[in-house]
Amino acid sequence: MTDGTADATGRSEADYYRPETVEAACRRLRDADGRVRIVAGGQTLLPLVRQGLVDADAFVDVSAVPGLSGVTVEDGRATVGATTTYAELADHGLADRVAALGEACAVVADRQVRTLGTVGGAVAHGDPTFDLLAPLRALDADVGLAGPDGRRRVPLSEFLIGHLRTDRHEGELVTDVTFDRPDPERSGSAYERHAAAGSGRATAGVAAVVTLVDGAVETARVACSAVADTPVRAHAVEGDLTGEAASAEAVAAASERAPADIDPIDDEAGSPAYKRRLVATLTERSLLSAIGRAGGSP
Amino acid sequence: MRVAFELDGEERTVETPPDRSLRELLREDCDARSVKAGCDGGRCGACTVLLDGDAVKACLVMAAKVDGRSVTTVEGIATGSLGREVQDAFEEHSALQCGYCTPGFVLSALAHLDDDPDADREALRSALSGNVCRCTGYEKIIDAVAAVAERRGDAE
Repeated sequence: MTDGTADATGRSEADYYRPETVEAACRRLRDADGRVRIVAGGQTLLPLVRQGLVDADAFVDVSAVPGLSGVTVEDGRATVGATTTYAELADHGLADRVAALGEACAVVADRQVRTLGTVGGAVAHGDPTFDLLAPLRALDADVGLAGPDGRRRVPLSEFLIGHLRTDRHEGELVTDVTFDRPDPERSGSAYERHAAAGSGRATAGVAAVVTLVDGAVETARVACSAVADTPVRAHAVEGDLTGEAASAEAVAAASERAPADIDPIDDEAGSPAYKRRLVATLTERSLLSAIGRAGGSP
Repeated sequence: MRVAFELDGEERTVETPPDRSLRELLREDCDARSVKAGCDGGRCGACTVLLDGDAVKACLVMAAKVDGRSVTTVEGIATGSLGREVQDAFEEHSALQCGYCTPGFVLSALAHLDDDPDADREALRSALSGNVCRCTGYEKIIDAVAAVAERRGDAE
């Protein structure tokens, strides 16, 4: 391998491991020679490898490890295994109950990518344009990790530390994400995004999770994708809306504050000013939809 | 590494670097020329194949992942009734011009109709959004697949 692309003759090739347990995967991550990469669906990884942007001497494919896949809800706490695909999450009842998850899964890339792409891959790659990260941030999700020093849990807000940068330590593996399922009786959620092309990356996306009490907003959690180096919470919007009547006027006023917490870059998708305007609009749409689903009538 | 898999019903064993793409493996080692090379970056869908029955982009699948699994190209669906029906509908509705994207579209459509036999046009647009066509403007492709979905829906 000279230019980062695989040798078509197969003369010099990376090692490829398919461990059958989390422990065996962690041992491989620790003991493999050279640069080790974890493979789940491979939908992000393979193009990076093919373009020579990512080096690997060894791959540890965790997609067949039992226990890393699937969705469970127990005592109101939802757990989504790392190798659960977007398609599997979208098909699970949880994605209907927590609409922001279903709406985010539905717009990730395209059908083919959603068939193989995984939730753990989205979290571990740390790309703030990945749609699913906004609802997970709005749900206050945390990330499960397994590694040489055992298992630990980290809030997603602390795990995602920058553009493509996470708090995953060497030898660690993302095992799952968990979050409290919002109260189905009086909560609602939504994800709204805009992309320049049908199956393209989000120019911006906004997830809202709202809980109502007596027609007023008890809690509002709003998170934005693609407009900062991590998915960020719109704290100003959340603060303004908490305790207010769940009305269209209150939502419109609070949504104007969304740009306060974002830091969009200037790129081919649009200028920072355009993205700030876009985020305010998407915030309003997602909040109105979430409030409607929570039983409110904004 | 050595990967053994089923390609259109036939057992294949191929020696390959694990991080090659399935697209290269299929075209270059297995002579599966209906699997088209397009963008090779997951954007165009021309290399779409069925992996254990689900539509995937072969340029995004590591060759290592195909070990022990089954791959179906457009060559392998000619005998199935739905596969035949989808291909006939493309012809009836003039849903192809240069034809380069057609195997990918047919396989994506087939995978979706398998899950959602009487899909409406909106569902089909979403299901086919991972495939790019530079000739037809998509309407005739949607017409073709929607016609199959309507027939399947009526038959149920």
